[in-house]
Amino acid sequence: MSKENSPLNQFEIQTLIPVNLGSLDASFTNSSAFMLLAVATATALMVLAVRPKSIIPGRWQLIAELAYEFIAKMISDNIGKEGKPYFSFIFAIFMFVLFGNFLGMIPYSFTYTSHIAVTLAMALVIFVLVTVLAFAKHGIKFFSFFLPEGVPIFLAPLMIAIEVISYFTRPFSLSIRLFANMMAGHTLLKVVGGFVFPLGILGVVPVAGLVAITGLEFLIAFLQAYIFTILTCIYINDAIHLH
Amino acid sequence: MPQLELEYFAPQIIWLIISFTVLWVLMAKVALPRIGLILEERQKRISDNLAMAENLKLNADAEIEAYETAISDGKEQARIIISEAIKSSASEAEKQTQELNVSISKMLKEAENRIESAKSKALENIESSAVEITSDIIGHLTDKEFEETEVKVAVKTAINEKG
Repeated sequence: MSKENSPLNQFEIQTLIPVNLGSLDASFTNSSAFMLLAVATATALMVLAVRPKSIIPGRWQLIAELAYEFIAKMISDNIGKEGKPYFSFIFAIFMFVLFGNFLGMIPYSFTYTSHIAVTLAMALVIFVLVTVLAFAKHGIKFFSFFLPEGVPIFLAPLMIAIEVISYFTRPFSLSIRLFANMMAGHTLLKVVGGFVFPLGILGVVPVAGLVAITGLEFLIAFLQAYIFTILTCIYINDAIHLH
Repeated sequence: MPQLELEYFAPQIIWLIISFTVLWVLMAKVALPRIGLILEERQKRISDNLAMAENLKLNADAEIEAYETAISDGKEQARIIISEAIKSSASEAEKQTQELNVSISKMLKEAENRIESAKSKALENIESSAVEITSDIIGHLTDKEFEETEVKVAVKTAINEKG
């Protein structure tokens, strides 16, 4: 199979405008373009659709309000009242991941959430912020997080080891879950799509499969954005309330 | 795998930071306050309208209550008026009957008196004519003259004997 037809070809980064900040490569790539597109569409939905400020919402405003209430409820369910200051941050994360996933569903587009560099950077930022928040709130008491209450003392070394490992693997599980889901879905679509023309008239079978998988991919696109956001909420909750 | 080409990590992360920051600022400063305000306003409007509806309902209930008491008051009053009318008409009828009875008994008494006087007058006439007839008969039969008083007494006793 030539490089052009590889199922992984869609993940290729193409530099559109080379930019160099000193020794740092800050080129504007197709990935950057889709990030800006996601920001633009999310802003269009959340700002332009709400322009009339009407009491009775139109269709687009209703979607914007649903998104707002969806995240507001997620925060109040998972963090409680103390989660309010983080609302805009969590909302921006949800929108950024959701629009990245959905824009990736457009044929020939680029899915920046299928890149580990992007998801890992986001997850690491969340991890660092949550850890800083936990220290700011609880100081040295934060370390009690690694030893749940009521654990027999002889189990403490084991528990602490498990808790520390699970705490420090958080950014990796968070980022790899999103990246792997998006990449696997898109690769699967491309692989199945590759069967359509070689099979001739029987190509309708993979096309039917593609239709079904595309539906599933839309579900996963939303679901992964939801999971990424709700885990962020849970991490912030852990930082505020410890266990 | 293109994802693992490390030379593209830096530009992706730099643009991630730029675009995410832009999105965060736009959401935090423009979109979310605006939507929050709309939702708040709507909530306020809904609760205001509900309160107003509650108020109107209370007013309507009070009106209905007033209307019902007015109706029951009217019914009560009508009942009183009817019973008074019945009572007054009954006493009026009683009075008129009594008056009628009194006048009837008076008339009866008068009639009786008249009958009595007529009867006694008639009796007197009968006596005097009997006396006359008797004296005539005696005159024809006996040719004797009797004192008128004698005849009178005789006739009287005869009448009394006959009853």
